[in-house]
Amino acid sequence: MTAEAASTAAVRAETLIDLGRHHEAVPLLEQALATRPDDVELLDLLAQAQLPIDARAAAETAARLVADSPQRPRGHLLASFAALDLGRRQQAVAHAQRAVELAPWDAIAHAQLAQSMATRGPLRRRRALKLARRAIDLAPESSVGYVAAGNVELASGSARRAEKWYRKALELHPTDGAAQVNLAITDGRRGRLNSAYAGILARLEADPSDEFALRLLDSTLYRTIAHLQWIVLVLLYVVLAIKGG
Amino acid sequence: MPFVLPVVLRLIIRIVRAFGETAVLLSDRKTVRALPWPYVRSAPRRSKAVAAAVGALGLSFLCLVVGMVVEPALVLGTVAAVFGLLMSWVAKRRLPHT
Repeated sequence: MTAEAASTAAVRAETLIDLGRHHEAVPLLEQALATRPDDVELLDLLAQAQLPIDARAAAETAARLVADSPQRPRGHLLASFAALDLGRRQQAVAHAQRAVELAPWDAIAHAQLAQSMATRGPLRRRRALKLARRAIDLAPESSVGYVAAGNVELASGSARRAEKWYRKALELHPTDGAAQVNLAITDGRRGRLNSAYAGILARLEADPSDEFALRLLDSTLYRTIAHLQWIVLVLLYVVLAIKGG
Repeated sequence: MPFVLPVVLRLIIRIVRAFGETAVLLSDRKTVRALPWPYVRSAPRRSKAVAAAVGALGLSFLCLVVGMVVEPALVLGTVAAVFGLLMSWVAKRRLPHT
């Protein structure tokens, strides 16, 4: 494959990723990489395409990217995303920290470090929130920092505070998928099933194959089934008490 | 006894939330109508635990109705309901983390 053909494949893959058609972008990029295995742009795009469908493969591609160009922050950033998806929090933090060191001006790197550090505990929350605020300062017109701040609050257990950040992100970018879906999670946690369903439906309307939204729909559905089961159990107990008494 | 009180409190909160959240959901007809019902209906086919939970829900509801006349059905219904709760918990646990 010539440099021109590889460049065309990269443009096509990028468009497919933007459209959420990650499955189609992966073979296209793998084909291009077969002849140009060290092309960092193609590796970057492949890791991006693999992230929502196969985090393990994305982690491997990101590792290749880091090995090929250790001084570029992108490899570390993508490796951090994949590690977080796989639940490898320490790895995610280490890669995000390296990405911040290499690109201290990059809001996404700060946001990712904030998200990977976010767990329960007031000290961790404060440190992660500081990083998210830094991301907001670096890119105030982007929703990335606001979503990261929301994710930090959600991880620390405060759905109410997280909701505030997601709403701010949606004020900036009303179609931000991450903010929409995460807002549905906070609605679910705060017991507002109808708002949670409405948020998920809005996301699915924009992208009917959004895996994360479908997973969230399943989770909300199971919660509804459990609610109905509790109601029936209480009614059974009441009838039993009346009959027995 | 000191261990029982928190459990009872949690149970009461869980039940109140179940009634409250379901009532609010059912009163929002627009959202209920907009749900992707073919996808919702296919949930038991996607997960055996959900199939068991839905089956248990149906059985316990049936037992509730029959139990008004035939008392032993209430006991069977209670067992089915507890099993259904367990299965819906298992189904949720098996979902990838969101």
